[in-house]
Amino acid sequence: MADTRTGPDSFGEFVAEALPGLLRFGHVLTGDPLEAEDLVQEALARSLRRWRCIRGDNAVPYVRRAMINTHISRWRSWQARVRVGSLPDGCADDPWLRRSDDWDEMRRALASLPPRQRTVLVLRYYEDLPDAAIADLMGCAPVTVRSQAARGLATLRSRLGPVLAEGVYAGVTDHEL
Amino acid sequence: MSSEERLGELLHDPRWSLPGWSREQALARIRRAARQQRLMVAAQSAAVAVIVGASALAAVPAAMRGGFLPPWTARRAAGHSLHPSHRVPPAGSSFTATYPAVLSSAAGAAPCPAPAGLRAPGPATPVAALAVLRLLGAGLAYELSVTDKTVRPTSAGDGGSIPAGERTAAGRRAMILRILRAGPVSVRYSGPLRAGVGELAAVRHQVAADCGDLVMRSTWVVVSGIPGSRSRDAELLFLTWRGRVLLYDIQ
Repeated sequence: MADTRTGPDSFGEFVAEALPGLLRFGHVLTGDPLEAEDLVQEALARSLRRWRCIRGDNAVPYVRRAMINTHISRWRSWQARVRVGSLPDGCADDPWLRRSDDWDEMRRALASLPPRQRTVLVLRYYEDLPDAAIADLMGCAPVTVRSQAARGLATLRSRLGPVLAEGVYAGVTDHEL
Repeated sequence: MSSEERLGELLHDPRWSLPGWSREQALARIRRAARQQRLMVAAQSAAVAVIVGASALAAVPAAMRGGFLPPWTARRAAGHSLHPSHRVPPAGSSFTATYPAVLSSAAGAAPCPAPAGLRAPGPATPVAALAVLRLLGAGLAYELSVTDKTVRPTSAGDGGSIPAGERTAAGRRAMILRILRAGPVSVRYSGPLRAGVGELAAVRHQVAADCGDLVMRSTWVVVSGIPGSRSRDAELLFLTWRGRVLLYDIQ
């Protein structure tokens, strides 16, 4: 990415370029489109206020880190959360519909995880980050990352057995704590 | 395909994508949110940035005399050596509360203490920090007698005179006061913030990110709460500023 600080409208250029990815990341992180938009808006507003201090090539990681911190702290501070509602049954045998149901089930299962477990899983399997990088992002030890991931995966497997087992279960190489 | 690979596949499903915002709409939303954040910071700067400035001036000498500290404080302080050179000077009856300057919102998301005058935690810091806590929990009248009048609405906590913009910060302060006044209070951790692990690591990163490395390294943190109720832990941050131990807060 080019140096986003150059030019009078560098922040606007950065937003235009990075927004789709940030919204998608926020959606995966929160599981809710509206909450994802709020999260992105809050993180970008925070970045705008410090824009002079953010190096151009660090802007996206900075915003993502702000999103992660905000997401975790929001969850921690809220006493009650609105869960993603259950969708009605009615899937057909159509592969595309079945795929959609898999995604919906996974979305609901992810949303039911505690925020740290969910964040670890998203960073590991969506961002493909190593545990050390995740630990650095979340401000915890790598062993904590591994334990959170193991718990999250165990929960997902118990709730999404058939969905996660769509492929071949032989030769499972899941991380162990 | 392993379950991990399947999870990765589902996480990369195109349905996670969201419709984008137009450039004008995006910038308008972001600038509006930034303005709201600045207003929050300004409100906190007025009410929360530095809460109990002069409390330590009276608290520490009282702590030195003994008989002032609650049992949990005394236990913590029992093995501690206090060199006279580290003692905070006592407050006079005509004290004037002075506080570190607060950085403008442009320099940070939180109302941060200016780094000038900050010192690393010293041997007297543990006792001084706990003494300030004791003051907060001991009695509002005494607290107000050593606190600048500008912090009274926040210190009062549940008082009805709190402006709407300060309710969040005041609510946090009230929560801390409720914990401290609810009865026996346990100190789960007392130490330099830079050595904090677990949940405190997140606080450490937040302070460093919001207020800078110097403020983080100058911060002493006490995690207190009610025994048997982990959900009511409170992380209280202290700074040593020009020989005084001050309670401060960040967003």
